[in-house]
Amino acid sequence: MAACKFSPALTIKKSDLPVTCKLKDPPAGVTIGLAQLFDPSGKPTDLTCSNDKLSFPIPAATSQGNWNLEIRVQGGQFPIPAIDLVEDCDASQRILTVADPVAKAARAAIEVL
Amino acid sequence: MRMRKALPSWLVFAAALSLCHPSLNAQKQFDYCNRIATIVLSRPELTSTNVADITNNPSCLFQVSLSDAAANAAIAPARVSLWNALDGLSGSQQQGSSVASSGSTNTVSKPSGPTALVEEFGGANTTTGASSFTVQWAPGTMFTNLALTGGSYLCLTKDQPKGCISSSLLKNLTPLTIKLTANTSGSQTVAGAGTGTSTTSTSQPVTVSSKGNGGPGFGGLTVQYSIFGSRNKAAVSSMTSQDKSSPGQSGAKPTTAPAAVQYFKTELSALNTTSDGLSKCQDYAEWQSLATARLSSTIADLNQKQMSPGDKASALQEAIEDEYKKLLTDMLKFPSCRAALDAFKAFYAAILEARTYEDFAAVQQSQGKPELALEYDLNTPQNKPSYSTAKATGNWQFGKVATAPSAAKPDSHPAVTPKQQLAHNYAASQVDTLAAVNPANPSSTGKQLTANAKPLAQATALPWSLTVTGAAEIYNAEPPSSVPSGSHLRDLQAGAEISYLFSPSNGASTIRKLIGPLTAAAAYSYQDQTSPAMLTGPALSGFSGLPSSTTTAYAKRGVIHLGQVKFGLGAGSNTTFPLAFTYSNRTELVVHPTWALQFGVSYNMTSLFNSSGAAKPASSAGGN
Repeated sequence: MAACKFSPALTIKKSDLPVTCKLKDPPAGVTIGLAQLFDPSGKPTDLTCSNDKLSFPIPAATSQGNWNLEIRVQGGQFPIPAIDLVEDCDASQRILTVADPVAKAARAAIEVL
Repeated sequence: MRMRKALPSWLVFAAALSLCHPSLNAQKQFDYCNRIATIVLSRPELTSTNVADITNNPSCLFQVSLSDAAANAAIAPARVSLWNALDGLSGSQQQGSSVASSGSTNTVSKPSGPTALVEEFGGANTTTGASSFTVQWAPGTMFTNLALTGGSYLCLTKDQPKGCISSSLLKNLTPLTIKLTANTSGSQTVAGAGTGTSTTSTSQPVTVSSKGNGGPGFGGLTVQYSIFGSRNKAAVSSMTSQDKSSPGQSGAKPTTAPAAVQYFKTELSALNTTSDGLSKCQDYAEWQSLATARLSSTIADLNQKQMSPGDKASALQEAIEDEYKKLLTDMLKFPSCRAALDAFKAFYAAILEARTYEDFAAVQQSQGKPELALEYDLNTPQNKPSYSTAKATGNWQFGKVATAPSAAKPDSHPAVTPKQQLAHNYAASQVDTLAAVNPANPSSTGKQLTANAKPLAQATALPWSLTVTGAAEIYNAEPPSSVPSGSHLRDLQAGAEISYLFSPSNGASTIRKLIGPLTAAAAYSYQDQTSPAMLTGPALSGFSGLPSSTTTAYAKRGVIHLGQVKFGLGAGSNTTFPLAFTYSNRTELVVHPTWALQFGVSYNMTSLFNSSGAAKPASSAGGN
């Protein structure tokens, strides 16, 4: 088990990248449809999901600065419950929560130091 | 708690958008603000990230903005418009009576049919036939239209709200079609002569020389149920249960269809644009910190009180809604926040488009699968013994879709497939219409919304349709023993029909576009009369040479080969006109070849069950 790399304010040192984000206890059928990082200019970078589509890494190549991390989940029975995206660490650092059952998307501002 | 004063057009637009989706028909079907309140009560840490950040809670925000009942009514038909439009062009749909009725224009049964009124003239496979009137009822389609357009309630949970329609009931009813047919001719004449030699038997052989009209009366009852591959059931499952599966996801291995990813990208891009706009709105930042503090305080207070969880959620919901109202009112005052409001509108349009695609994909996927239906007919022909029909019907649609519709708009998605483009055009046209929604005239908006669906339906309906059917007909009572070869088994039948849907192309002439889609079909039917066809009652008076004691006349039995060419005018619109030419080597009674012309008129009543009563589009559908 690795220690958490994100601070509670969702900052992370570049040297700590890559870091893996995963859905915490997703309901049956719910997977990540798309995960993207947006830079301040609004340019998106697709993040590569794992084979089970329940996790993805924020890559080491991510440059320092402010980013918007956004995910769109898919599947599951309506309405989906609130689903946390957490850091893959023993403290289960929450990064964002998808709670809107129609949009099924959520975002969080992160900063790479 | 709803805002009562007049709201800016974008809020009305937002409200309209939200109602395009049944799960967002918040006033009747789902309370999003209550739901987030319930979640936040147990997880207060979400107050700042999922309540005070409106990009993560758009549905509740739109729910708060709902205010105009007329606007709600205006967009009500949008949800099912695409389904109804595709249904109208489906080769598995039949309008008209079953083969046995006196006026039927159909040689082969189809697996399902819409709720419709049908008047037919001619009779495809009867000797005494001229006209019939059929009432078709597709209860699942009717109730789904009611439930999804606000005319009734779709249940959220078991039996809630009271009087609601459950999604499982809709799904199970949708494959069912019931038809009631009446013979509508005014008189009956069947002419011929007795050919028998026995003067003592009550049953006499006859030669029937001419056909005639059947008298008015009950013609029969048909009950059909699609037991496999029901296209309507697939569509209803998508539109009522929702999200059970997403396009491209199947089995244990999760995948995401490229088309779905494209819509997700659009949604996330719009979310990011909204977030960017909000970051430049000073009032929003101030509201976020204050709202988080106020709501956190409210949550702490509520969690200390002795109240039921439901009451606590209601109290917090009211607090959240009040915060959103303050936010919306304040943001409108500041020019720096207008960009964020506009971005939010686009964000929700993107959510709508992603959801539209999911529905569209579900309907499309079901189109290509074979459909199998079982059918029971109770036939009560005039002056003939009643009989029952057990029938199995299979239908398969296939072929390449037609060209893109003329309503196509400039592509905003990179590298999309033609189908994606069509779905995008459809969603975009719905959004455009809703943006211009006129609450004072909701009916016109409803018509436009359904009109928007037609180009997509025309361009994506599978053109070829193959139908095969097999049936056994059984007399309801044992024929008289005096009828040679008479038995309970009346006949065995098999048939096939292949049809093609012609949709006008982009470059079609004005007249061709005015005519709209039409179908052409060729059918063949085989019938082995294992028992002779019989006549009873007043029909016997038309025969010469029969003893007065005759109660039953029977014709020479044989094999009937029937071929039909049929055209369907008005496909996809409310009113359709079937026109058929039929040749058969003989009929049930007449033993020589016959030609016949059948025609009819059918009115599809499905659109009447939308809450606004909006009719289906005119032939000029497609523009905005």
